[in-house]
Amino acid sequence: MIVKLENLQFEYRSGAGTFPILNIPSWKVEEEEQTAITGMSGSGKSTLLNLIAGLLKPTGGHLEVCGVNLSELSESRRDKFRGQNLSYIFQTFNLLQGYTALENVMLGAAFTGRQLDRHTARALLDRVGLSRRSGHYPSQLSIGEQQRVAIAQALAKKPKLILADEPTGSLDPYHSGEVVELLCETCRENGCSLVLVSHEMKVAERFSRREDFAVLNRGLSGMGGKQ
Amino acid sequence: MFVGTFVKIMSATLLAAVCCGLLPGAEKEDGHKAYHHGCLNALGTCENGHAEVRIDGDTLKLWFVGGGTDTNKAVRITNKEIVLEVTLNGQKAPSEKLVLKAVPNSLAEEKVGDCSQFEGKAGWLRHAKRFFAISTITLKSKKQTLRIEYPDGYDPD
Amino acid sequence: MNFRQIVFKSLRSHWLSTSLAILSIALGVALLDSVVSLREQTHRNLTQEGLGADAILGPKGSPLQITLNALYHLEEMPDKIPWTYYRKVLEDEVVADGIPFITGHSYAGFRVNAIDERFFTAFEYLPGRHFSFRPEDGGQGRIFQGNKEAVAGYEAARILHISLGKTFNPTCGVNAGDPVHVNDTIKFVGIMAPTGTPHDRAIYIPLKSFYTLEGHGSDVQSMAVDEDHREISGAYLKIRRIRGDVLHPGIQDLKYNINQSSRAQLVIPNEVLPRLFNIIGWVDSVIMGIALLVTLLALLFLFIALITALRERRRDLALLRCLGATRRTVMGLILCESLFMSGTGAILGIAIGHGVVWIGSELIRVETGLRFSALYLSSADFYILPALLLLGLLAAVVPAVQAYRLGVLKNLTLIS
Repeated sequence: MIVKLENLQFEYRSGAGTFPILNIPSWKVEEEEQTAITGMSGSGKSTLLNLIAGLLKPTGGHLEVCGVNLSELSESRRDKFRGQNLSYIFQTFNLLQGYTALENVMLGAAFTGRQLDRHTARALLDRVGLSRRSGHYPSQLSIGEQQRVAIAQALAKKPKLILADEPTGSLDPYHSGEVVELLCETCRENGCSLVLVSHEMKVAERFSRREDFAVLNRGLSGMGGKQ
Repeated sequence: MFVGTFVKIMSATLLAAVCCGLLPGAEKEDGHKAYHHGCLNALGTCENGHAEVRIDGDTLKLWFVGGGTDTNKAVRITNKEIVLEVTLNGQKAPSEKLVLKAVPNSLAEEKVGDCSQFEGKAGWLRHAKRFFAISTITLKSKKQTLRIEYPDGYDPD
Repeated sequence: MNFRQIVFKSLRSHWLSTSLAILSIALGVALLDSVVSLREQTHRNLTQEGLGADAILGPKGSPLQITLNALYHLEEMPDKIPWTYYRKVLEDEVVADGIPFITGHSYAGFRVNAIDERFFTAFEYLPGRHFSFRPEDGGQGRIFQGNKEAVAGYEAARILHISLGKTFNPTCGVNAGDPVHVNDTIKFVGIMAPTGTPHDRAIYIPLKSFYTLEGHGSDVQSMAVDEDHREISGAYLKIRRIRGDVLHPGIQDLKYNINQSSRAQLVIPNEVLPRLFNIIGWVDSVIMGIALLVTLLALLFLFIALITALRERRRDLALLRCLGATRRTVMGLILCESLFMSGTGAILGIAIGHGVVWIGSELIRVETGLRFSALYLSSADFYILPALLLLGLLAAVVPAVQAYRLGVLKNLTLIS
């Protein structure tokens, strides 16, 4: 099992008070499984991905990713864990501006403890159809091309799990479908799981497993919290 | 509180610097330097001149030098010899006489009767740790008491 | 891609501010390094065993002027001293030897000194080192023998293109416009091997030939034979040693005795030159202060460059954190960038500083004959790099801590 969570809770704390965001009784993602999570904007889907990625620490419950209990790890250990096992694709601006497409791909494996050689990185770019743009900087690529480079970067570390947060949010429907198709294919080819979050139904329809976030986060509605 | 402490520290540092001779005020010390590493005895007053006295074995050497800060400048007197009445340490009256002969500095064209250096020999000088001596000389055509307090020197100022 | 490559990539992506930071540090360091080097070499040059003379017997006047004239061939002697007085001083038990000389003539801007020929055999311009005319040492010819012969110091010969057999007419004085002894043609018979001292810049003629130069009055010319009325500018004195190499303690009494004379004084170069150094030491302290200020300003520029770059790189650093970099890693990036810039600036600055010394040393050598070496390793060469690395770290502390505390999610645009 790649992701396993039980009674996962997250609250946002500020001077004004405590605001519960997540309360997920249970959820699992199997190895090589591809899952789409849909829901309204601002419902907490990104928060779930951030927790799985180790960017946030749960305030309650149990969260296990790739067999590791993230709830008990320190921040630096979560950073290292993420560097070796997970990749994260955002809606936009996934790439470092001062690095070429090829260098951004190589950066994907920089914190795994292994070096990714240029040949392998070029092969990854070729897989996403951009080997001829390897020397171009992000500012010289379209948004769609940048997302494809981001996919190649995500695959560079041979992750067990890829998290994608609205990866097609800035794309038109045609390129949107292209990117999602590419993401799913490459994950299948590399044997890694995929959890994709989107508010677009057309994107989610491409996935055999779809989750409604409101249902997932049902524990929160029972507490009268954010929906 | 911090300003007060800071001022105190700066004042102490400045005082230490003056004492160590880092500031110009300390230069005066060099002017009263005994050039021949003897002890300086004022001739009446410090400004009049000094008699620098040094003992080497059984010989007492005496140089007449300038007053104030001019202790590296020779002052010539007309005496051909000087007879010192010496009171050794622990005694109440003069017990020794020491005759100092003129030793002209030929490199400065001095001669007996126009000379700044005098010397005298005596066996008791070898063991003399402290004494007082008195005599009279002619300095700038006037009679002047020569008072020697060895080894501390004499400075009425 | 590894940590080192990420550091260099970051430096390259901000190449302008990186270059400017390195250059400004280099300039400050160059100034500091060159000043320290020149100061230490000047101190060494000015205090090296009095350049061969334990003491100088000279006329009344400024001891510094006498030292500069006798040892550095600068200034002029304020007066003359009687030969008979010099002979009397030689009789003192403290004096081992004396070499009389007369200054006051010149040729093409170089001093022409009349000197006793024992100067070339008995005088040690540095401990244990005598002048040489041997080809294997870089010299030519021989010591003068006749009255119309001269020898040249190495630098004087090089600059004036003097060769053996060439002749010249000495000028009676050291200033432009002074009269030339047109009827006194003197031939060069020797060129001294280089010594690295101001003696390389002088020309020497026999002592007695000074008196016989046509144009000097009969009273001067008679001094060639009349010792009772002969005068000289001064004499280098060698003082006896006790217990190996310790100067006879009687030198101070000798100095006192001579200084009471109305006609002469004894100058001990090792007492005078440090005082000169203390005077000019003020100047170089000011220059050192300026150099330090320039370096500190450069480090301030580095600090500002790092802070500014950090503001522009927040998202990039957040992305790196997302890719798996820990807080310490991103902090380390900032520190390493700073270390690289300050270290590179320091090394470049030391190199430029040595270049400055090389240029300056040529000018100083031409003007004074003193040798300065661009390869001299001053104390600054040892402490500048570690000091700059430390200061570079200090300059990076604030931006590094800011990078450490960077909020990942706050700096990433996320839409869910």
